[in-house]
Amino acid sequence: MDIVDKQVVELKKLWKNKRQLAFQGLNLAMIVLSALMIWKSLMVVTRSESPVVVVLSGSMEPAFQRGDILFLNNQDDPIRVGEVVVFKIKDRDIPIVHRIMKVHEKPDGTVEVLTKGDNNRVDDRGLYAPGQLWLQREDILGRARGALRYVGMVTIVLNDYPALKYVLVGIMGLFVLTNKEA
Amino acid sequence: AWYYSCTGSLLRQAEEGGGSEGGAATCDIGDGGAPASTTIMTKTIAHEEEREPSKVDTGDSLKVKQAMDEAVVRAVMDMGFEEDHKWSNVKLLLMVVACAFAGLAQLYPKPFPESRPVLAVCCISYFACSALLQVVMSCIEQDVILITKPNNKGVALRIRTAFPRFQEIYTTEIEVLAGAASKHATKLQLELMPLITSFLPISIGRKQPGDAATKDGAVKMNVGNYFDVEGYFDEEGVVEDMAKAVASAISAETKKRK
Repeated sequence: MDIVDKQVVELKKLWKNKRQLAFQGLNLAMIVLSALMIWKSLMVVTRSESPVVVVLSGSMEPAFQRGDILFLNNQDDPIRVGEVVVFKIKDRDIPIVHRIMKVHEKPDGTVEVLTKGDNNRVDDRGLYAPGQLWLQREDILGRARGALRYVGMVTIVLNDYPALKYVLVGIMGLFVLTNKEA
Repeated sequence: AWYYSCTGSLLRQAEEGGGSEGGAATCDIGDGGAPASTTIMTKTIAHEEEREPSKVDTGDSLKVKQAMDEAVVRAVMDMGFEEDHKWSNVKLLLMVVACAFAGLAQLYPKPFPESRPVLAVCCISYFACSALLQVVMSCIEQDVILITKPNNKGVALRIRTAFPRFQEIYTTEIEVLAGAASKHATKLQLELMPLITSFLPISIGRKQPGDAATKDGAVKMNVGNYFDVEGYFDEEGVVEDMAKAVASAISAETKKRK
């Protein structure tokens, strides 16, 4: 494995020169952190906890397919019937993408909403927590404002086979560490 | 003793004529159609085997430049100069600060909606540090590979190198900074023609400061002189030639100031 040998030689050379090692290490950290900071910036701009989500189920077909990426926006505009929103049910991890069916709005602005997936036969009351009939505003992560078709399949694959994630990141990290192109 | 290693059947001829230094070794290429870069000759120092000759993939321009850069740096360091780490430290500091802001953004204890202002500050600072880093790397440092502290005679050096992809000429610019006045710098011109064509005498010309084109006032080396067909790198050759060039540059500068 010639490539592996070359990488090992490069790593050994790096280890001898601590300054260079620090530089390459920090370089790698900056690349990873740049991705993280872009995510955080999106969070700040869209006011949403999860500004980009992947559609995991087919419950919104034909509008959104499994594997689509959605861009969310969580500004304080009033929620209206017909909007596609992403919400999280209390104490559950996975956000759900469905459409607003009913909105109850009180004079002071508090809302209660009911959602339903386009491709489902019934509304989401079966999905809510036991005893919960309506969603509150805090449960909603944001409105879907843009979509990229099918690009999210990568995330779905990585989630189904978690080992792949570590392998991929490990290989990329090795190449960045030993590649001296600034 | 020196010996020339030529490609193919001319090896015998070289061995017979070996033992004498230099001279006009006219190694005929023979195959007129072969491009110059594939028939490469090296001077190998038989008795000075300090380190294992390292092997470089000659097709990879970047690796070749790195190997040459390291040899040039070694040449200067061997002459007793110490590396000036100022800009390197600035870059490292910028990176650490950027990572600190990123760490703060990630690890801030409050949950999202309350932490929004802090996150905003962290993101802006992170990208500001990143931009500053880019400025340092592309505008201030550019293609400099080495800056030295002034030695005991007060002479400091700044070395830039250029090696465009898929070209053969590796250009080194040696800026001699004597004392505080970095405006007075002499660039020395040295041209080494490839041995396979002919033996031109090495010409030394002096350029006055203020001359525009930096390419003319620089040390040009044909990388073909220092790598053989298999990619073995003649580091000692580069070190020697660079040491001579640096010494000439320094003496030219000091003469001028007198």
